[in-house]
Amino acid sequence: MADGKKGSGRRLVLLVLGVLAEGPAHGYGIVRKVGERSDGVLRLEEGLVYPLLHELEQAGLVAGHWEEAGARRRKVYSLTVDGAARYATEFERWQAETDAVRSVLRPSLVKGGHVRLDLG
Amino acid sequence: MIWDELVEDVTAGITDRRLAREARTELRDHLESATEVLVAEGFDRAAAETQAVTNMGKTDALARAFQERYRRGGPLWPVPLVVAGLVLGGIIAVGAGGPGAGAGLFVMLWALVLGALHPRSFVSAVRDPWPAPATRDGRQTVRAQLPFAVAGLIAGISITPNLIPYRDAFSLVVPGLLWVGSLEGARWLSSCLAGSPGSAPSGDIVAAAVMAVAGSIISTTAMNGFVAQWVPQALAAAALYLSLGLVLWYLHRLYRRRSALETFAPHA
Repeated sequence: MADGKKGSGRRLVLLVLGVLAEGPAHGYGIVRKVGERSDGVLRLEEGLVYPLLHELEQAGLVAGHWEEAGARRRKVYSLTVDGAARYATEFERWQAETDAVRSVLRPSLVKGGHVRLDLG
Repeated sequence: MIWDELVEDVTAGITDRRLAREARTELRDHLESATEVLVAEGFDRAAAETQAVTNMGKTDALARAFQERYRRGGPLWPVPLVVAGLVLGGIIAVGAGGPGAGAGLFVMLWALVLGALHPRSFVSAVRDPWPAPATRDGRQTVRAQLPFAVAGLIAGISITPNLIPYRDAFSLVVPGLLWVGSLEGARWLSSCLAGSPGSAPSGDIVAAAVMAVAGSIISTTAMNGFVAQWVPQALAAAALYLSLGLVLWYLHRLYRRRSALETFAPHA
């Protein structure tokens, strides 16, 4: 699909903003939440979250600050007002697209992993 | 640590040392956290570390993602805008003559210093002259800089008549230094307020000072000879700048990368 990259990029932005909408989190925390909530279906290539977080930070959608976590320093991200607005927009767009796809597909044709073809 | 090589390789493309250091700290924290979770799930320490590294993703892809993320805004980004500033300065200098030439040359220095040292500020100043107040991540805004810039300009203009025959030099050096100093000061102060003091601004200020001095030498030479006595040549130079600007602007548009927010390709 021509906009496959763009679509998956938007989906990751939506996931990250969605996790941060619930409260501040660090990169690994975001990855963990996405994996757990989706029962492991959405497995992020973990390192790729960081360039995206930095991009979102640069765009003013999230704000990062450093905290001490034991002997380690940890960067924790939280959603900004602009980020919350962007999340609402992306969420509504995703929901509209999902509804549109669902209205095209006919779930009743798929049963037990097989498609019941209606060629008549 | 087993992941030291991975972390170094992944962040090798980040040219800004402070950003690279922060990215390494962040990645190490991630790997430590992941290892702790895996150990709690029953892995032995060595296996957990290996698994944590594997889960991070392919080193090449990560390095490319980081490199592309930080290449935007790199040294070539502001070139067309710097040239545009130079053209504007050249036109003012040639068109107005006298004090106008000083103003034009000031615009040229402004374009050079701000474009070279603060490409993002320069771009954002052109695209969004009145952005929201300074954000907590230490980025400065034009609104915060403007009073300093105006003060610098006024200071430069007021000092100028008292410093003849060095007025050309000072009309460039003083506002230029104040402007860049205020940029750096605002950035450093806001990063301190955010709780994570940024890198010391002295390096950029020294660089700005060197450029300002160079600008003053150029301006003095120009005021004494080039602009005042050789207006046709100055016009030709402005036309040359304009042509160069148009070519670079075209190339900039041609190769401009789209925002990573639109093109990011994760494996979600």
